Amino acid sequence: VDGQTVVRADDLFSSLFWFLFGAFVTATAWRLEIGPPAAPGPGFFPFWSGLSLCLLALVVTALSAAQLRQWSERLRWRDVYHPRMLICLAAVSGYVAALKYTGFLLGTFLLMAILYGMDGRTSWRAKIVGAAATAVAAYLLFERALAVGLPPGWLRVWP
Amino acid sequence: MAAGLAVTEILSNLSLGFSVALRPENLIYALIGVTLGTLVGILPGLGPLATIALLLPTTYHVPATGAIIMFAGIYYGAMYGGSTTSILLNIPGESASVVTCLDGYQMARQGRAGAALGIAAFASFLAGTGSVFGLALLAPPLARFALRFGYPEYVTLMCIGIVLVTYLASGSLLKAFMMVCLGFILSAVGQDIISGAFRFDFGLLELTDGIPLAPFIMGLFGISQVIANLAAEAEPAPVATKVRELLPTKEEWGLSALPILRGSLLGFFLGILPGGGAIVSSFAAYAVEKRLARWPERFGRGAIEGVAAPEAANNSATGGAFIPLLSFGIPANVTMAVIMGAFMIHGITPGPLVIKDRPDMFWGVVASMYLGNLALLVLNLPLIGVWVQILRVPYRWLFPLILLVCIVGSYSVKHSLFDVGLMLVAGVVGYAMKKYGYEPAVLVMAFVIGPIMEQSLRQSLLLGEGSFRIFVTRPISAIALGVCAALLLSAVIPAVNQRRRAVAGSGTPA
Repeated sequence: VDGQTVVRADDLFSSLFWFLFGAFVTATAWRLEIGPPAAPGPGFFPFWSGLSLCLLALVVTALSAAQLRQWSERLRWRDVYHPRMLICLAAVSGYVAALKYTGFLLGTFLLMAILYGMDGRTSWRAKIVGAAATAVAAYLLFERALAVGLPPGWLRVWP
Repeated sequence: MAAGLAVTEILSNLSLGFSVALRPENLIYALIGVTLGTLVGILPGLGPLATIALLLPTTYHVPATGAIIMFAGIYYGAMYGGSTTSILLNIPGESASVVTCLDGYQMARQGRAGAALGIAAFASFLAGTGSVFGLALLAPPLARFALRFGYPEYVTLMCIGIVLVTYLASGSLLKAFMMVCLGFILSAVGQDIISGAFRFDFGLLELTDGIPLAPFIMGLFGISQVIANLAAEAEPAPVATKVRELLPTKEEWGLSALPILRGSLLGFFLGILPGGGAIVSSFAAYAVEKRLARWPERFGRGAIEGVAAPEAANNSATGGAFIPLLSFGIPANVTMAVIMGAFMIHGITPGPLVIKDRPDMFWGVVASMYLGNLALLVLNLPLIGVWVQILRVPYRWLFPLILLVCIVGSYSVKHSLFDVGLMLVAGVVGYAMKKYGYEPAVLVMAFVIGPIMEQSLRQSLLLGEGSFRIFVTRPISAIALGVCAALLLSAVIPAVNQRRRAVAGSGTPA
């Protein structure tokens, strides 16, 4: 299997996805009113962009399907995934969802503890101290110095 | 007589610029810009584009002129930082620094990292200063010319920008054009500025103003890069190189002087052209030096000219790249598109009217570039030891901080956790796009110029009473369309011929 075939199997999936996405945009833009060329409506630009995306995706799909010789060699889950990545994304998503309640200081401390915790080469004590130091330093920089207006949550260390 | 008047006008404008740039607060913004740009620019995996995206929200609380001064500083500071990474780690911060790796890293391996970093700094300073002079000289007359442009001219000139960026994008041209369409679609989200209708907002209040630029770009470049590094089995190795003797010797200066001059001129003029000027110019400058060299076999083995010329070229190209943005309001490359977004965040539409209506801002930014380039040289050579120490920080300690900057940055724009969530989604999408061979840079370019493109296109059609002939009956837009067609044909014809040969080859019995 040559490199070309590997890429083309993935192209088939991704271009089909973009074709469906383009079709959805085209249909939605149609409902928004395209208008005549002399008075283009709000749907005019997204309609033609969506339609162009559909057509280009169709060409890529057709070229991929025509050249596809083998399905087995393509981008696998293991090629794009690593447990660290999933832990990180889950931790950040949880942090964002809970930030309103935990507040910046506590939330950031917990997030940093998890992210630093992924490092197997450092002691837990150092990780906890590092997480606390990062949270406090970030609070002082962003909230006190730059007045960003971070969510205080229920834990108000400073008024 | 006319030339004398022009010089007097430039000098008078520059004195206005320096009076703005030398204000303490603007000096501080320039210093912060170049220092932050260098700091984040040297971090492996974060090039100038990601750096600017990451630091976009830091300018929200800053006055418009200060913000643009800071951004310009971040841009060329990050370019400088990128060369440090290329020389010490053999990891190009971005495509324009790829060539610097070839000889810069070899010099580092031979124990000449100091000389490589030193000549890169001096070449960047000289070329950067020269290109700012070129910017001051060329931007105002071009902007006066651009004032004659109407909507059709803007549509076709933006088409050239888009076609050139897709032309130079890595990978498939078809996929690049798909990303252009996607960028245009995403730019249409929110309230339509002409009719007031809400589009693709799905009833979400947060999307009525459109997809927020900063979280979107930070996600596509910053977060996706963190995900990519976490997904990789091995984390980027910290630098082990020792740096000493930063000042190049007399002999090294002798070898580098002409390459710096040639690289600066080449970089400036290639930088003006829309579509990745810094990348093309660094490669072109390297190729020219190799061609002109008495011993071309030295190239790739630690030739100092191989560092000096491309570094001069890519820094000179940054000054050149500001010309289309400030004269025509058209970004020459994706980084400029993000800087254009920064202008727009501050309620300023870059283009010919900026020079006319806000001379203090334009000339203040130009003057700050002189000072910023000087600050880079003065700060960076003594601080090189600090930058090397930062490169020694393991990535497992660095990525939580990058994530935190991204989170706070996107939250600070509108105090919206929705924006932070959107940034995470953009990060995952950006990572998937890279894995499947789609170019996020092209998407961002189209996303940024999408609203102007749409407005100009619709106004052109209104002007032309619905006829597309308006684009071919006006000379500038007709020429621009001709250039687009020629570029597209030059990209498509070789691909079609290659496919035809491949099909013919596969049909031939073995």
